[in-house]
Amino acid sequence: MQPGKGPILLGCEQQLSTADANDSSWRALPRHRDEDQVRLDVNRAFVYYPNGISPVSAVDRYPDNDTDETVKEIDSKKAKLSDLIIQVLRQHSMLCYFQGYHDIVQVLLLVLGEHAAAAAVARISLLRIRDYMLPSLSPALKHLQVLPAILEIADPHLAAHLSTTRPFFALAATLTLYAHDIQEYSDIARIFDFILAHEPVMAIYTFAAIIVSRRSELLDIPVEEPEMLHFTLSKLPQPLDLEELISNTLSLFNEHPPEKLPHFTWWKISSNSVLKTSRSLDDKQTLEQAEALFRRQAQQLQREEQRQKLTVLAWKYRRPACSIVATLLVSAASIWLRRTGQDRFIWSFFWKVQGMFGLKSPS
Amino acid sequence: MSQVSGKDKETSEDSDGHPVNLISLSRTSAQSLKKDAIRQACQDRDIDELVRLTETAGGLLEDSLRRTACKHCMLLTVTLRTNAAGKRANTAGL
Repeated sequence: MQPGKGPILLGCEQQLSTADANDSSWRALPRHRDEDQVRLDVNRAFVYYPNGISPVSAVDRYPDNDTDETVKEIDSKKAKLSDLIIQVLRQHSMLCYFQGYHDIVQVLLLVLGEHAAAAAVARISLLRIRDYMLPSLSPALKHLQVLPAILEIADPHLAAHLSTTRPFFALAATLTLYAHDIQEYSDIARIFDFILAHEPVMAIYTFAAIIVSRRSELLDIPVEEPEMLHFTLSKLPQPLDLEELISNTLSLFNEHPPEKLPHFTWWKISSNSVLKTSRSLDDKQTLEQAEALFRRQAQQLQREEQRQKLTVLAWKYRRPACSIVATLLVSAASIWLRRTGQDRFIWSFFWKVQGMFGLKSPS
Repeated sequence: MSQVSGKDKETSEDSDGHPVNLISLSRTSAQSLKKDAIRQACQDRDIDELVRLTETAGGLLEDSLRRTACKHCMLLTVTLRTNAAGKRANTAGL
């Protein structure tokens, strides 16, 4: 890499993100439709970190400390988190908030501080987790379909054992980049280092590596108990050896890259998905380009949903529909035969049959 | 000749005769070297190297280094194509 070149990001460093924490003009923007949910979720934030500053844990650990100060500190952090999320949502109002988004932003706020976090949150929202912020959950669920494909190629016996469970057990972890499940601050910061330095699909490979590492535990659960399998898989193992996990994830990814997954899994992922648009630095994507991709994805989703509704409707009314179609076809055929004179062959055949049965033709 | 116990191998003495845990010292040195490597990669805007460092023990180690990486390289949303051969190719053309 040549020094002085670049912005090394999905986009240009010189193109400032509209989400600048020093700019408070966002407060004048129209309210985002999901702000109520944001406030509810932020109210539950900062439970485990930083340094276990929730009032309950602070009292347990430091009984002589002034818990009023701790509460003030937490409230201050919550206010900053709320402002950060709402700023990004108002400046990119097409984004749909999802529960768990605050978990990701919380980590970024603590690592980067409120001023640098604004730009990072905007970029991550549009260039890494955009699929999760669409009007529908179906793109996120499509991400999860990559998981069984990875398992099938990496560990076919384990994949067969888990085939009765659908991969929704991985939703909370992958949706929040593991911020929802990892309670130690140092651990989540560490895993963010890795996941955010690699392409978005790496988060799914990470979960696959977790599953493979729990092979014997999972094989001990009978396949007739899919609920138990689902319950076990939805909780991350404790303790979680992050360095081994990262090493295993890289091995899995290198040995079984997305393009080589079975059943055309990678081909089925939309070309507008972040899994495909955020793989390479060939195109230095701006936030505006990412917003354009968002709109294309939203339109694609709309078309898919309409197609599905039509399919359901057609199946529901298939009998009357078939009758109507058959009637129309016969009518059209009759008109065509009459107009082209082809009907004489049919009448000729009809009279011959009539003659065979001794019936007289009309005079 | 006396045999050196495993515990003896882990400890030594500094110039004042105070015991020093060699394993801790080794870890501290390794961390210090890694911190320098991270700072240098940020200075050089070497994304390949930064990504490699996120894969090794401890990742970017500290929030101050993460902030530096983000500030200089905006590392947080960098992705690189990893091709089927497992080689990392920076296709930014930078």
